[in-house]
Amino acid sequence: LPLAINRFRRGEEWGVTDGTKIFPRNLTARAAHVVAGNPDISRPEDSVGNCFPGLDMDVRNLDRRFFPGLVFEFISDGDTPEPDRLGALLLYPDGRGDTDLQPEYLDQLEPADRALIAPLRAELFKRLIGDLQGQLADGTWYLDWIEQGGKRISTRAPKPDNSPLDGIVVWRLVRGLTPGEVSIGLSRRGAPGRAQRVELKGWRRLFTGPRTGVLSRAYQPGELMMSMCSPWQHDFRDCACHYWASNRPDVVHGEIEIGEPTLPGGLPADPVRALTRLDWMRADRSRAAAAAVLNTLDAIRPFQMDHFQINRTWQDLNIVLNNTEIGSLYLPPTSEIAEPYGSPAELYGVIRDTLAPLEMTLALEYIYASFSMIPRDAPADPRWPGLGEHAEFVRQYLLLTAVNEMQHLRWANELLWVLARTNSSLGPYAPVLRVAPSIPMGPGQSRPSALRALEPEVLESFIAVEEPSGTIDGAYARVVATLSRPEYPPHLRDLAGRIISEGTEHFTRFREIRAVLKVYKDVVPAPYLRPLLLGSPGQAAAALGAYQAIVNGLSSAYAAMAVGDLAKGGAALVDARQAMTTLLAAGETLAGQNLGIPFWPPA
Amino acid sequence: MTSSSVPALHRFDTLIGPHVLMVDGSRIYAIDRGLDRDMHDLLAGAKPDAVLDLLSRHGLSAEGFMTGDLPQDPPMRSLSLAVAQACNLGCTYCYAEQGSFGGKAASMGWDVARDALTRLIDSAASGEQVKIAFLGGEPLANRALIRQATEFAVAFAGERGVHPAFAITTNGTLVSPEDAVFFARHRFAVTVSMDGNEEAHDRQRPFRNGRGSYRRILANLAPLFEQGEALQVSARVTVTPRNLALRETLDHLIGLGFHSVGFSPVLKSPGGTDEMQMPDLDVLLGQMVECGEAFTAKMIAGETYPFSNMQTAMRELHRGTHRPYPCGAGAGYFGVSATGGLFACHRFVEDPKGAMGNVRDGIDRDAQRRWLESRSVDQQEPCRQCWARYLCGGGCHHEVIHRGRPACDYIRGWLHYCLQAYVALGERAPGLFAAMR
Repeated sequence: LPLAINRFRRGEEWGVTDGTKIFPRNLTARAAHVVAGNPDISRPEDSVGNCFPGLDMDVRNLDRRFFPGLVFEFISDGDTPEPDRLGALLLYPDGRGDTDLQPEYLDQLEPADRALIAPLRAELFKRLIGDLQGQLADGTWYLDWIEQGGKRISTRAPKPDNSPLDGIVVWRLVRGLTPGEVSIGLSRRGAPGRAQRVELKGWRRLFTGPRTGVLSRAYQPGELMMSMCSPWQHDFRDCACHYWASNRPDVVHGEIEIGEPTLPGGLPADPVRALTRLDWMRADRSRAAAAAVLNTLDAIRPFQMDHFQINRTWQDLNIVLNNTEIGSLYLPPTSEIAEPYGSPAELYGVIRDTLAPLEMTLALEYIYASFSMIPRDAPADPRWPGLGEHAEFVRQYLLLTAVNEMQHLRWANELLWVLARTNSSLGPYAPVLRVAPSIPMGPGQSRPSALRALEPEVLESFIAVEEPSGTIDGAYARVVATLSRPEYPPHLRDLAGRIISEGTEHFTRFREIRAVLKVYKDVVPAPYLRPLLLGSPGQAAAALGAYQAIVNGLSSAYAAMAVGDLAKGGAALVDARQAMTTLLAAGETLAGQNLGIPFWPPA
Repeated sequence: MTSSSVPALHRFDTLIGPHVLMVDGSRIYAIDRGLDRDMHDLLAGAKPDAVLDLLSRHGLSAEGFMTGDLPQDPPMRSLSLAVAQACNLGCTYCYAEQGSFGGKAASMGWDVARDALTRLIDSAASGEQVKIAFLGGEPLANRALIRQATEFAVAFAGERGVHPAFAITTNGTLVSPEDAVFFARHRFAVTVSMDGNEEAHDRQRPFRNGRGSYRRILANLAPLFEQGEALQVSARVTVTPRNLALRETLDHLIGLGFHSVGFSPVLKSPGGTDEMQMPDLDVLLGQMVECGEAFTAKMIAGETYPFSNMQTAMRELHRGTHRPYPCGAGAGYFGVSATGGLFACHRFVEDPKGAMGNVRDGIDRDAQRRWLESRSVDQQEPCRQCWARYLCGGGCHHEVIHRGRPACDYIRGWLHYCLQAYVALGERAPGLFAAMR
């Protein structure tokens, strides 16, 4: 542009020689004028660049041609296990190919630079295309030292170590050079015989043209960007600097299809779907192939998108909300409307008299049922391959669910003690650790609480009691509605809400048990069951002793925590947990004799 | 070929080659002769779209600046207060009909001025500037109010961190030495209406008794000029068919010591007296160009020559000013009548066509929206087809509404000349624009 203006000033005919047809005159015209290239104030060194990964370029790539006529590669310990290969490796001498060594290059320079560079260029060019061309092409050469302003820096550690510095360290030294004259030493490594050394005098390359701001033409297209990650694409796979997408989703639930039945809370009604966690970055996006994610990074890597695929299809990676992939339209789950209880006293009464005993009773029913499963090491039956594994799976699910119910029992008690503390007319609080005589089974219906093996109809009754929007769920929904009122501390509502959402998970688990046991449908007796009979208190004395210790431990733990004595409460809880271990061992011993623990006397 | 244009562009020749004004964005480009020949052929073939295609291939877009969006409830930024709707002169062409705007002579009361200034300063944020102009009639007929209003505005704006700028347009007959000191203290921009040398001036601007006002004004100017840099004193020349010797007038008034001198032709007067007719406008254009050439020569020589029409045109062309309105009237600028009415500008005072609310209740936003919508140059014919539309803005609302657009050829001629002069000055006196942003 300045040249164009000068031509105008000289009144010359205009525009035909350099292809410029249009010259903007006033400010709006200049503002709208699109100029090719970067603004002249931009310098590569100022870019949002670093060496790993770099945002617009990898600055190391700038310095690999810091010395005109030579191309280096900075080799670090991540690139090689061999210490002798570290440092700035001379990739190749480029005397003829380097544009900055051509005589025309001097025309681009300001007078001061030209005066410095002209003699250096002539000499350097002569040497690089002369004997050195053959010498440097033979064997492996490394940058040995750099010298500027009378200061020489070696690329080896101080003696006596004298080992080559890591390439990244050498790069930092090279990076510190300023524009101007530079001398370097090269040495050949691994050559037989005496050491070969070469000294060269040159200048630190001017990375951009001083008048144009354009990058030196010595750099090949793509050279400055090579070794960079591709932000937002590869980063989902490979970003190791915890910078870009390191907080991406990991394992997720698959997308809910339009019209797919769901449970309250949004998970699929299909228990297999609800319980299958997928790799968010899985390569095979088809629903049919939605296999559960494996549990280590190394194991899942082969099934994740590769670089090529993620470059092309990263848009297919789903948005994830509430751990669930969202494909098209997201509809937040609607909360069910429940009627609050009429008074704090009614709320308190329901939790104390119905819900807490219910949690206790279900926990015991599930534990009892878990002992009815045959042991994993039961004799194999050729008719039922996998029977032992299935039984073990079911036992673990039952125990897991029982432990959940114990947690709920503790939360129900916590609701009671916090309510009693905030409203003295409700208390005093006493721990609730008793068994309910019956289990509600829908409006106006119930069944007696019962210790039973996991016969198919028992499994069905477990599914029924955990069914969302069923009896328990419905009661807790009213608890949540009541606790949502401003007069109650907000964390109580959250506690009750968690009981509801976990109840949904129980429902899903039991239905998965049903799916697993489906192959044994109508087989009598069920091959996965022991012929379990209710033991007598005498037979089960050890187990019942442990059970009583659990109840005692929980009772004093809750009482202590209710008055804020967490130390005492914690110690009592530890006692209860140890008693639980004893109970499970004693229960297993009894089960080996086909006897169940009589937690309560038969009706 | 001297010029050719389509609604999107205007091509013009200069001594250093062909140029084009891209109307959207008021962008000015030099183009090479080859491209110009191609363009000329297409224009001769009446293919405006093909011309735009050709230019777009060279990176020149016909659009990108004007959005067509109307200003949405713009805040009040400047007011003129008609502090005295009465005048001691009897100018033949006065749009205000000797100050009374066709009604009864009136004086603005303190409460109206206070309410107006409060509203103005309230509508500005800290750090912003507001402009306050005192007009009439002859504003100095109500000197006490000017002083009270100025001091109030300085104090109140100071509390709010707002910067007030003051201006007064006076006939010069009532200016006292004390006024000069007061104006200088508050950095007033003072505009004095002067229509030429003594003979020309007195012919058009006599006292009501018929006596000339020139000598009285001249005597009053001295204390104004004595204030030096602190006071910007401009002359405003109203051009009628009877004072068309512009160059002479310009030199005369600069010689008197005015810091700038500007011309405006009478396109509409209440009784039709002294209105410029077509042949007069041709003469006017010739005279303006003559003044412009004098300006250009002085600039190239590195001298000063405060011909304000030219100074303004060079600044606006350099910035590439482009706007769908001729001025801020009815947008950020309002005229306040003596009784507190808000009008689109000082010329519309007491005119229902420009009524915009009042200082107590504020801007009538519905009326303002209707005004901005209907007055946009993009809504005007034949303006929509005119290359000069975003430089001219469609012409003074008051004149257009009451007389139409008799001066379009004059305006286009003047702008064409200014474009050529801009290019010449950009090459030969670039320092002139270095400080303009």
